[in-house]
Amino acid sequence: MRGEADPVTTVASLMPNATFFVEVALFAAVLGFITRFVVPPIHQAMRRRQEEIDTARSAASADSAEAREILAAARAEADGILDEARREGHRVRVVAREVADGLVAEASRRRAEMLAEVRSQEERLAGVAGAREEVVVR
Amino acid sequence: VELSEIGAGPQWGIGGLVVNAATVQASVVAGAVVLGCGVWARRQARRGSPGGMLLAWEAAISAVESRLGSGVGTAGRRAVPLAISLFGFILVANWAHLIPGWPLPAPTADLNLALALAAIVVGSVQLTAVRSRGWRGYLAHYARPYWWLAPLNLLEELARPLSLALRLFGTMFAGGLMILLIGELLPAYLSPLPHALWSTFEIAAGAMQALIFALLTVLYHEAALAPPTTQPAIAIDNERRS
Repeated sequence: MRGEADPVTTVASLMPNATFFVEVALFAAVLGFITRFVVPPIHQAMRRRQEEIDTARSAASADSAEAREILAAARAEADGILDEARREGHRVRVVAREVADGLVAEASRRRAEMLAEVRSQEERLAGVAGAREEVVVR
Repeated sequence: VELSEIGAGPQWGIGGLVVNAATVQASVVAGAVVLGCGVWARRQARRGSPGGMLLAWEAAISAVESRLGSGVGTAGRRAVPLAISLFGFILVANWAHLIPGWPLPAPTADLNLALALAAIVVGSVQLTAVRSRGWRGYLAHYARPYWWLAPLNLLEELARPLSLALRLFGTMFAGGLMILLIGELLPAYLSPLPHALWSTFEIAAGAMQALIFALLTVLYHEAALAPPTTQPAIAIDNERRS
């Protein structure tokens, strides 16, 4: 490259010359490319990722609300089942007590009947024994 | 070392115009690196798989946009690629010559490149100010807060590109000069350590200069986007912060 142009007198880089215009054109070209072809796709990627984050965040919050609803429903159902079980238990206890009371009453009645029968038997036997003694004495 | 040799290099004569060959060659390399990084990030963005390069670009874009605030969507749109391109370009230009065996000098040590970059920045700032406020508002801001301060405001606008360019050029030129002096003035057995130390400092200085140039670009655009009433205060504040 250097061979194509004539080397002119050496001038310190302190002196402004036509390099200024070459550099303006060169940097303007770089800037133009970056402005047109690099920054817009990066902006687009940033926007797309932000949208994905927003969507995921709203989906997560919707999922979380749904999970809360399901949890509340499950808790309500569990409370209902517990209440029902408590009521059923109470009912079974009451019925069992009634049955037991009935059985006890029945047993008491049967005992009293049997006692009465035993007593009447004893009395009859005592009557028979008295009559036998009377016959023997005669 | 003769004083006239400092910063001298091969030149091209094109139609009677003189162009510093090494500066242009090194600038082409720096521009190619920036374009390469841009193409790499673009490919990652299109593929939808975010890699390190894409994330670096996204971080840079977000940083500039958050600095520019609400104005970024309209008139300040151009400041984003400009600041990022400037940062990458100046960083590569400042660092490339530190690679051992690299044949080209730092192009930022040439006043022509520094002035060219500053001219582009100031052109963009003026364009942004006109778009943001309209011609009437743009011209009126020179007469704020008092009409007789117009010459000073105009001077400030002219001082911006000069200060931008001379800051970068001065730092990088002085860095090159130091390396030259270390090599020339010290005996060969003594020069490696100071050379290594100075090169390390040059790495930090090169990054700092790239950052300052890009940051000032963003701040100038931010001031150009601000409402006219608060513009002088913001401009002063920005100058202080920088």
